[in-house]
Amino acid sequence: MIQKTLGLLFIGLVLLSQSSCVSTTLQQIREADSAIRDHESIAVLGRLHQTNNETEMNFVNCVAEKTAQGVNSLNVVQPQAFLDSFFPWFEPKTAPRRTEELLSFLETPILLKRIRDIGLRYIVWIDGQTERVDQSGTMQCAIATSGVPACFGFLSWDGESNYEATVWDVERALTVGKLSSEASGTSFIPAIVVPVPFIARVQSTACRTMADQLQGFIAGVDPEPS
Amino acid sequence: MIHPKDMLNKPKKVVFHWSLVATVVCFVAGCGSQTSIQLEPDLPTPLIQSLPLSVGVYYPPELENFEFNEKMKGIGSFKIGLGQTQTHLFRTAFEALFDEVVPIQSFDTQPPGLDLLLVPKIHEVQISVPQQTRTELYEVWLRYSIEMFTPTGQEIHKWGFASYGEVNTQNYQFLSNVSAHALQDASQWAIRDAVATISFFLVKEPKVRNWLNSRNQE
Repeated sequence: MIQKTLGLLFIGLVLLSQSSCVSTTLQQIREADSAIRDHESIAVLGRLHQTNNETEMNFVNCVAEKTAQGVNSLNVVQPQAFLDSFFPWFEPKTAPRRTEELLSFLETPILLKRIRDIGLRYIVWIDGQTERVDQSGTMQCAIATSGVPACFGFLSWDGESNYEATVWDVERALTVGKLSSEASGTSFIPAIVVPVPFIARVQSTACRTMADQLQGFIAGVDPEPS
Repeated sequence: MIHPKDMLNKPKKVVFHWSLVATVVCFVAGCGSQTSIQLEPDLPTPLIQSLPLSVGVYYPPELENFEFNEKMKGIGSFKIGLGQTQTHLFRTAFEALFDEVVPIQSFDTQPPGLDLLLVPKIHEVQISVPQQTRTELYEVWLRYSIEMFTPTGQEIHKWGFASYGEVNTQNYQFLSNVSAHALQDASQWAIRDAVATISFFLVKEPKVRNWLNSRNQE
């Protein structure tokens, strides 16, 4: 009975556990004006196979999904669908690294037709990673003689997300600008019998803020200087 | 006299001893996990302009039966069944590259009107896992060749190429059996890379370009 009650208490506390504070820093550099028409779309892609510095696919997918949602939503071709549709032009060996290489794409009739078919106007390249830094503390869990699990201790760590998005205008084959989204926060788990996690969701915050920023940037709306 | 409680405990003790022995033996001998995957043919169609050529392709039996097995001391054993993926990858690339592609059983039984004969081969598979390299990457390398002949059997070119696929363990944080998922995806990337390499670079090979140019001049 005690075991069951403690189990329920454990689940309840975990469900009630709070998200820790996350601080974000957004920056953007505009190199050219931008605008998007109703029939035009964008693609959000991560640089693949950069050996150990690869952007997490779930972050790229998250930005693509969030940019396609909300009142300022844009038409977004999801990353894998885009790679398959343009296969093999955006594979690790063949993807353009500079906007100048887009010019040769635009001169290839079969590619130009596909670009026009899906109304591709902008390509957003995402670079960056989320890392866990400065982990400290200890926690020990054991099963008592009555069979009840118990944990004691304190764990904490800092999470840092640093991502940069480079926006290419496919029609004009030039870089429109760069956006960066940095998020950091401290997560901690105190445990006196029951561990209660307070997780700083740095990656999801960075994703949400980058998607919001992208929607405005591509529509040509720049933030007010603070 | 044996107490009933001891009788109940006895089998547990035996199991404990054997598991302990097995653990020690595994620790000393380097037992590890077993990862076995079977690749599935899943490739998009290349978006390229095909050449107006009719091509016969001989798929050697080894291509379809190729299997990768490796035991890594202290890490585990890995088995990758490449199965139908190899024929599928070459068929996908060739059907995009050439107007007509016909599988042939041998050079002697080729249908009339072919411009070119191709023989694709797989030579080697290599993998690396994070425990070996101290990185976060699962990597797969595939080494292939494509032999090209005129319908009369004269060699035009033997082109060797490698393809590569990698995935980062960070993308598999919440999955069980990470190595199977990661190796599966890294292999699929390597196969995808092979199709991309053939689609992009085969006709750019100088000997192939020369042969194509000489045909156009005829």
